[in-house]
This record gives sequence, structure tokens and C-alpha cells, in this order.
Amino acid sequence: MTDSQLIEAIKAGGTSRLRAIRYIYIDWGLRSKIIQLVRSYGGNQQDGEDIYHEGLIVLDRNIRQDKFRGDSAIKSYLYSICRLLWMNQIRKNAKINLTADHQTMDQDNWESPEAVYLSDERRNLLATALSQLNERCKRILELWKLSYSMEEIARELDLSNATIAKKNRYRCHKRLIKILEEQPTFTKSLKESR
Amino acid sequence: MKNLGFFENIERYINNDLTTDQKRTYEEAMANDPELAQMVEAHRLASQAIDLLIEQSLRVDLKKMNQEYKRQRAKAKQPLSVASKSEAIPSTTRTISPSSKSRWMPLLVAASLFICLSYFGLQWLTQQDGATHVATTTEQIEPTTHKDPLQLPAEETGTLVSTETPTSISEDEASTTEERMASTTANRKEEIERKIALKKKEIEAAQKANGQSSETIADATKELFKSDYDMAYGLYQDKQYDKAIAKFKKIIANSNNDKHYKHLAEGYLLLSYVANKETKEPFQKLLADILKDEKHPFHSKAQTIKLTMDGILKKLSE
Repeated sequence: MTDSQLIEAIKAGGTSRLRAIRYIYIDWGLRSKIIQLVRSYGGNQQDGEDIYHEGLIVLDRNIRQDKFRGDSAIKSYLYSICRLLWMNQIRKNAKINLTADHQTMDQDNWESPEAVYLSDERRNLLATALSQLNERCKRILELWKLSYSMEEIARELDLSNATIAKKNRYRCHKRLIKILEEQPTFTKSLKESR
Repeated sequence: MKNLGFFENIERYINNDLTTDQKRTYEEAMANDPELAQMVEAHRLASQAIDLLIEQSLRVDLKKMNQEYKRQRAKAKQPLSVASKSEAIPSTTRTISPSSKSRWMPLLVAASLFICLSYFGLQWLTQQDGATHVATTTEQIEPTTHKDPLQLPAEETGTLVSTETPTSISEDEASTTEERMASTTANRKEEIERKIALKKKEIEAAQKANGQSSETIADATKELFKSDYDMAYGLYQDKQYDKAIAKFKKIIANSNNDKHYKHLAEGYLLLSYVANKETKEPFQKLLADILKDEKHPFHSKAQTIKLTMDGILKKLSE
């Protein structure tokens, strides 16, 4: 698969997205390189695997949200993400101020994972809200965000047709928003966004 | 206002799907309408919450992919044609795959050496007894030398199969079969090593008793030294770094006359230290020694290690 095919597949969502991620994971041989990188900077096998997974999560999100412009190869972009994630981890562990060497990144469209990552406070707010939503609603919203068609969502969740899936999606989304608005920290979040 | 279309417009604004003009109009409306601003923020948070759900699901999928990857790797690295049953099958009937060749080579070398030494030992014993006849036929040698050193007695094999798996194997590469194989290999190496040490003592005793230092004995001693190195290298390849370190140290200590193997042992000792994350005193001294010696075969490797370590220290000090 070429880079553009991979980007297309990830953006298309659904099963093609997972196929593309699986292809990157299994067939590229980047996994062992990342583990080697992490090991050479004091980590172990498990750290390497975790960083590789986190890197893939960031890559997936950046492609879906059009933050990866394709100025560099996906492979080197992913490698750089993992490298920076591990450097940040070292800094976090060592509690010292290690500046990320953006200069060494071989692409222009780099966005720091820190910028992409949510603050702990916001993450807690979201996690609390999600815990009040039922599993079925979570699944519908997840599939919808991943560009599954309403027909596919209906099939996946044993709903009678696409119209019912659409109504369910709307209801669940509305419910999630209501839960979020009811959170005590929501007002703070609102102020910060202005 | 708050119908399906209204929500879709907010979504389009959050996803940056509006034109510049539409975006400006929307922002002006938000500035004048706190309720709309609150709705937009709630949608933004909802969008982030759903992204969090996607992340969580992907994490689960990646764990599955990780398992699949490890299974594929283990399958590709399967050292024997018969996997789990191989321990119960006598070694003579096993098929050694090309990938396991390097692991078995030291054993084969040691086995051949063992046969040779037994032969010379028998010859010497015959001479000691005053016998003029030297055993040369297969029949005469057979009782002591025909035994395959890889073929352990049945009860011994049983013990080896139940031996705990070594912990030094990398999680990535270890499959149950491989771990058992490594354990079996390590035990057999030790067994052969013990037998060779015994023979070595016999040779030394013979040397002292006869006051002779024949070429045969010198060659045999050299072969033993090489075999020691092969075993240490085998342990290194099996990622049993603790054992490899001990073995390489022993080789270096006993390698006064053989610079070639001393250098090799030093190089692999250095790499074993790195793999074992032992970067304190013995490692530092060895690294410094190799760096001093420009003709050392591991000189450039040592330079790379030094540069990498300096890089880490520099980053940490920043």
C-alpha cells in the first residue's frame, strides 16, 4: 500500500482504517526499530511497545483530522512521533527540562503530541462524562466518528435500519452534550476556550 | 433552531468545514450569543470525548495486533521442524532448520571435540597400561566414544523438559517452544562443558605425569579454548547475558597466548554488558581499554557505544 492509499483508507474509516493500521503495524517492520530506539534510550521492551502503540494512535488521529499534510513519508512521520513521545516520557520521568529537538524532525508538518494531547483536567472531565453514557451510545458515536455509514452502524448494532441508526446517533450525541454541560468543570472549560 | 441542521452546522464549524466567511459569521454570532458559544464548546468537548473512545478502542485493537505480530514472529523463528513435541524425541531424529544452525554449531563443534578428546584419552590410557597396541578400530573406541553428546539419558531428558524457562529471553522473541529449546540448549551446553573440563583435567594430568607437551595436547588445549569461546558466543546469541558475561570474562583471563580470541571475547563481553544494561565500572574500564586500542576489532563498535552514551548523558543534562 502506498502512503496515499493508507491515508485514504484511514480517512475512509470503518474496516479499511483498521486494515491500513494493521498493515502499518505488521508489514512495515517499524515496530522493532521503535523498540530498539526506546531501548537505546534506557527503556525496555514493554516501553517500546507502548510508545509504538501511542505513536500509531497519534498518527491515526492526525490523519483523520487532516493534521498530517503528507509533506513527508508516513513511516518517518510515525518514527518521529514515537521518538518525541519517548523523549517526552524521559523528561517526565527524569523531571528535568528536556527540550524536544524539533530541528531533527524530518518533516515540516510536525505537530507536537503534547499539543494534540489533552490536559489531564480535560481528560478527566471527558472520562467522567463518558462513564455516564451507556455502552451502546458510546459504540454508535464511535462508529459515526469513524465514518461508518448509517447502514453499517445499523448492522453492527442490530438496529432495524439506517434511519433508526441515525436517530439513535442524534439522541446519543445530544445525551453526551447534556452530560458534559452538567459537569461542574464545564464552566471552567468554557472560559478557557474563549 | 436546535434541530438536526443546527447541530450539523456546529459540527462543521468545529471540524473547520466552513468557508472563511461562514466561519467569521459564526464567530460573530457566538460573540453575541453566550448560549451558542456554550453549545459550541459542549460540541467541541463531545467531539474530544468521542476521540477518546476511538483511542481506547484502537488501543485494544493494537494489543491484538501485537499478539498477532508476536505469533507470526514465533512461527517464523520456529527452530525445529517438530515444535512442542521435539523435547520428547531423541536428538538423533530431530531436523535442524537452517535458522537454528548457528545455535547448534557450537554444540556440534563441542561434540566433535569431545569425541576427539575421548579418543586421545583412550590412547593415552592404553599407553599407560603398558600396552603396545593402540586402539584404532571403531569397535575398540565405541564403548567410550560412540555416544552422541547431544543424546542425554532418558531421565536427564525428562528433567530438561520440565526445567523452568529462562528469564533472559526477550519477551518479543520468546515463544513457549523457543524458551524450552533455549533452556534445553543451555543445559546441554553446561553438560558438555563439564565433560570437556573433565577431559581437560585428564590431559593436564597426563602432561604432568609424562612430562611431555606433545603437539597433540597443545592442539587439543587450543581447541578447548576455541570451544569455550563458541559456547560463550552461543550464550550471547541465546541472550543469556549473565552467563555469557561470566564465560567471556573467564576466556579473557585465560587467553594470554591467543590475542584473536581475547579480542573477540572482549568485544562480545562489551556487547553483553550493554544488552544486560550493566554500564558501571567493569563496563567502563573495558570500553576505555577497547577505545585505547585502535587495532582492536571492536574499536569502531566501542566508539559507537561511547557516542550513544554521551548523547544520552548530554540530553539528560540539558
